[in-house]
Amino acid sequence: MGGYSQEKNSFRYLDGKKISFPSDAFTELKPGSSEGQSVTGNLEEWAMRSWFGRINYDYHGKYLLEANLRYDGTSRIYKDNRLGAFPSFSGGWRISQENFMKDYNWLDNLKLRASWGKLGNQNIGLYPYQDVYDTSYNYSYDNSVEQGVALTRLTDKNLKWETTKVIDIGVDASFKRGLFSVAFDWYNKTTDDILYQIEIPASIGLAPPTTNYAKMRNKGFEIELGHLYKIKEFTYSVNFNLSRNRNEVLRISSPTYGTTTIQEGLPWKSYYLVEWTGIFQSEEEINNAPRHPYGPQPGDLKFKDQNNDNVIDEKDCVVVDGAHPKFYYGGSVNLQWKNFDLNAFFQGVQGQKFFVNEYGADPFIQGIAPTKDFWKNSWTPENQSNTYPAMYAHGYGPVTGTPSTYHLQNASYCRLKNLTIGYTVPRALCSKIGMKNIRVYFSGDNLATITKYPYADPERTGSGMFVSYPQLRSFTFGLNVQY
Amino acid sequence: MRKIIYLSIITCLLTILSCSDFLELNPNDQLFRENFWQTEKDAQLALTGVYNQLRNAPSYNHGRILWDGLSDAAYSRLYNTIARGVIESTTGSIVSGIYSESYVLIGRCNNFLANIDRVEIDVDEKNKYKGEVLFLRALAYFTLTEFYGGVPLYTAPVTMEEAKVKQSAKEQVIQQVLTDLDQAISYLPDTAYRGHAVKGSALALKAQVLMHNEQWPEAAKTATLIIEKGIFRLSDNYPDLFLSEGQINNPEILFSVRFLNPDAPCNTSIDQNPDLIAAHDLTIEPIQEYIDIFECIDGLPWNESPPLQSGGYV
Repeated sequence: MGGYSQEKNSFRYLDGKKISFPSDAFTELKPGSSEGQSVTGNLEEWAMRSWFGRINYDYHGKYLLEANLRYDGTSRIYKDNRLGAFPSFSGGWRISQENFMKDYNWLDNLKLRASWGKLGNQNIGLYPYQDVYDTSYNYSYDNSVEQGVALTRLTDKNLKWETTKVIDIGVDASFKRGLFSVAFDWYNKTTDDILYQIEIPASIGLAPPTTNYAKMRNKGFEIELGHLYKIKEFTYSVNFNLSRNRNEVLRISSPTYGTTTIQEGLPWKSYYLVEWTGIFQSEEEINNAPRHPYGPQPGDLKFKDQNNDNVIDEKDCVVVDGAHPKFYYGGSVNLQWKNFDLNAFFQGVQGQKFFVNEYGADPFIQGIAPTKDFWKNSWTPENQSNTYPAMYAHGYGPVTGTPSTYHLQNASYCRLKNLTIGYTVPRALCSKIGMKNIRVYFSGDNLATITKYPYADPERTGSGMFVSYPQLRSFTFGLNVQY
Repeated sequence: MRKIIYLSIITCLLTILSCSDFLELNPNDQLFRENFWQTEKDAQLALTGVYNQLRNAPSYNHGRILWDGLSDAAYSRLYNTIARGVIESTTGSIVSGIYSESYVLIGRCNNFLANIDRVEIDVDEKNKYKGEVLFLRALAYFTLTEFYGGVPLYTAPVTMEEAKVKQSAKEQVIQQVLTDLDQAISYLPDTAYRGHAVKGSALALKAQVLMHNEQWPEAAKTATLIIEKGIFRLSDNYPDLFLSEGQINNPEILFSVRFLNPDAPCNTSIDQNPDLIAAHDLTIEPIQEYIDIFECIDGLPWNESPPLQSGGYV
């Protein structure tokens, strides 16, 4: 199969505005006063042209092969590198179809799969390489506006396609008519020539060019297990899936540091924080400790001096994991006995942490009172806690001035998302009333959660403020009638 | 069947051969560098582009009002931590802002000076424009020395590699500032200030630079020159300096950054609009001791002076 496609996208707009009208009844522009009127309009375009083809081969359902190739040309890249070639191949071997496997009738399916592919991305703004003067840089010298232009960016005409290469190897197996089944995939995905604005000295006075610079890798595996069984009138099935992904920045023009860091060899935006080790209990302890910023008092946080220079500053930041979860998992249980059915679905995330400060986490920000367990347990000279600092307001340097693991919360969770129990009225009973099918069910969503996260919903929020509307636990009772 | 095949082959060939510039698309609201710098209009567009940075950058527009928050005269919640001396490599705010915004201005000045000779234009006009741009470049480098001391010195547009030079010593940068100002003084017309920089503007900046660098005799000489020319003098009415009606043609103003609604306004965000700055959220508030040192027109402090007590101006 082969093909050709070309597309062009033109976005043209014309905008007219008048702001004073003699009456609110008017809905057209003409009666408006020309004072304060404005007009604007522009045309923004991009185009792409592609050729593509595919070959498919299947030998007796045993050996499967597919190859694809596409050539894409885009208007967003300068003509020297405009065309990109993106091939992909995949193959499969249904081992269970082989003659030497035919005798094993406890084996339903055994298939080995592998694939390799390359894709391109050019989604980087419409005109990234042109050397142009930007308009609308106007100024009013003496009560009338004069138009101006300015050069605002550097450009790189050597811009080329950003490419992603993926390799995936997997195996599917199923035994004894579904008694046990497994699907496993291992993948390695590398994105290269990531279109990126590299850092340049601010003294150049121009915005940096978009160039291909960064490289990132995501690799991991996914596994799915299944089991089903039937004893007389009782059937049950269980499914479980687990996936793990490891992200790593392979190349970047210059690392960035903040509460998260982007560095070569680390996951994207890993946490970069000072470690907190406890609470200062006395003035003497403060005097003997390394010099902390903002002049702490007893009851304030104590931090770890990583480099032993006797000063706590940004040099004591360490990389802390938790920006990306270790595992995602989930599963379902399905039971059926006579006319009763039960289905439970759960999911979870393991190894994620959120950096939660400000609204809801720090007391008195925008007038929000502290949480109950905070004010009950906060440090006081009588209650010398080592886990909660003395009462403070957001903005108080010794607690909120240094980004630290104090605000890092474990947000791993496992949640029973849905449980449905149903009963189907027997056919005989149904037809007596003249109905085809009646089913009664009871279902609950977000029923139970196992998590150490102290604030609202770990599934809903991310880093930042903890105040976000949590999901609701709901119960539904239903009746399904077919006639 | 054969017709379909022939038709599809021909259409393919036609589309491939036709419009090879189907993918050659360029922005419709911007000017190509190759086509620019040809007429006097181009020079004026570029000059306005340089002045634009004064209007856009908080370091040069009304954002300068907030700098008093760095001193003991006023408090600004925006510069609260910086004013207490807590400055770290990740502080940002004006610590990096003054640097990058000044260099944007310098970059535009250098680009102008490097290209202005390509334009066919009357020599006196060209020199006037050059004078204005040199004045603005001097203003930018002077601002940089006030906050950072020695900084990288560029007198022409630089590439990414050329930009990476060691910072020059403060004296060297000041030397460049004074050279630029002397050049500007010779180019600029000796008229009243009406929006474009004039000789008086450059002389005033030179006097300020000399004073801040403790060159008292030269500073006095330059300042006397301005007074003697008689074009600029103190305003008759003090409040005029702060109200937009009074600022028009005010003889005390030697140079200012100007705005006009709605096309060349101040920053439109609520935090930065000067009408609201004094009222909103402790953005800038004078400290009592600062208010107390202000004397009214009769020499008395504000809480004793009759004109103020009866509701008049100082």
